[in-house]
Amino acid sequence: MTMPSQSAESGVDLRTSFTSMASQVRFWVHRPNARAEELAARAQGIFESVASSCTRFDPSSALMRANSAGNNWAVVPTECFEALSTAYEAHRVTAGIFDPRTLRPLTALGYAATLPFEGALNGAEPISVSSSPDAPKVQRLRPWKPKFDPARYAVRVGDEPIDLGGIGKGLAVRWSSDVLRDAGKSVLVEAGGDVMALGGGPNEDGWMISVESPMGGPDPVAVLQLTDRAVATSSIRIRSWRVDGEDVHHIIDPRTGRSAQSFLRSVTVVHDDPAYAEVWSKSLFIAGRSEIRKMSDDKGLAALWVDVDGRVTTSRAMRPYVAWQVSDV
Amino acid sequence: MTNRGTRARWTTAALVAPTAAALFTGTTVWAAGHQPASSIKATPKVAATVDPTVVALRQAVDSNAAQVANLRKSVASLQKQADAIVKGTATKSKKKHSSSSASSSSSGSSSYSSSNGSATKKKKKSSSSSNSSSGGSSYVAPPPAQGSTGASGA
Repeated sequence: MTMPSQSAESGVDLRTSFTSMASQVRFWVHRPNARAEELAARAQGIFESVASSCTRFDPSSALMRANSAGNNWAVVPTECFEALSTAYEAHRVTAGIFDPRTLRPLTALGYAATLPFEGALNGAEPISVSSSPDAPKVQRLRPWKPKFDPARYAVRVGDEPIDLGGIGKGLAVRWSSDVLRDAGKSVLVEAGGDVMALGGGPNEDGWMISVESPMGGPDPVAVLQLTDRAVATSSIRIRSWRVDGEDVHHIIDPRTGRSAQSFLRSVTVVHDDPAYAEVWSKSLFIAGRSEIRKMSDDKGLAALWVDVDGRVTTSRAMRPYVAWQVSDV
Repeated sequence: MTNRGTRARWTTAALVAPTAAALFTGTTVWAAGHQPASSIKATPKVAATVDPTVVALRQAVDSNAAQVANLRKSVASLQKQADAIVKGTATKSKKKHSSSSASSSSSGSSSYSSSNGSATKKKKKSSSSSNSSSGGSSYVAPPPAQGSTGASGA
């Protein structure tokens, strides 16, 4: 990941970095005010709360308790409740393309615990796992009808367990950005590919955000110029592996219950909201190469995608944000 | 005799007319509800489906055409800038030299976007132009980024 460049005011800018939700999180407050440090600490606390309540890798987390309860009510912390209800809202807005019920399919594909994907960053071969004989069978998902009781923060998630990985991080960026908004003149929040750019940045004409190549290497495929906008990328470069010799990845198509066969390598979406940037980047990825242009243009989504042949394409709504772009990689 | 024959014909006609009318109506209704046989056979079934690969290729052609058009604009703009620099250097060489070295030392980070005059203007390179950067001058390096999105995306 590219480190933020030095700004003219770097001596006074506040920069914080920590690890959360299996990602490197960075806050950059340009021209911070007297409350900046306190607000940054609060924003970091939000990441930690979301991570602890929404992780699927801790059986005692609020999310996993709700998953275990299934069709029974489970009382969860505010962050987990909001994340589940936002996930359901996104499920309806995307007509079911975005579906957080990916835990069973991912487990069936051998992604039951955190896998050592870091090697892919250095160009290593995908890791191989064997499917367990007692792994749940992959099947098409039935309609999702969870229940929410906002009066007591209780949920009934249903039969299929939920994974809040992507949208949870998007929400953590949303909520921490809301806190940091008052910390200085401009703010950048970055968490493993999910970014919120508030204000005009150090040069006052927009934060410059590079879109990494899904093929790897130091050169980006584009540089976006963003003011008061979020951006997220869904990519299969890192979280891909082999199960019994078959190449799979973590983006599950709810229509098949398997890794999406989209003929795309990455999809980047600019949106007002970090959680919905994340939701739409994943949904457009699942929609695939044959549908992505029509879907993004019809819905007015600012999207940039790289297909399996290395072609880089943008939707109409993305073009105003593109400061620099390659045509192929 | 004549009266009897006329009555018989009218009787026959009165019996046949409703039958003929019913037959005509039935035929008309049937004909209205059915396509002519030739037009059914003439509709090729294959035309109903479009190969997704063809759709994707057409989209790629559209996209590439738009990118080529933008690239042409970009080249023309760069050519103008280059011409302007050459003219400026010829007229006041010492002063221009010092200011250009100052802007290049900051690797064009701030001047890149502002020199375009528009944040929406695209700068593009192709893989071929980056491979042959010594031969041509069309390669434009990306502006320095302050954040990134991509490979580690969820």
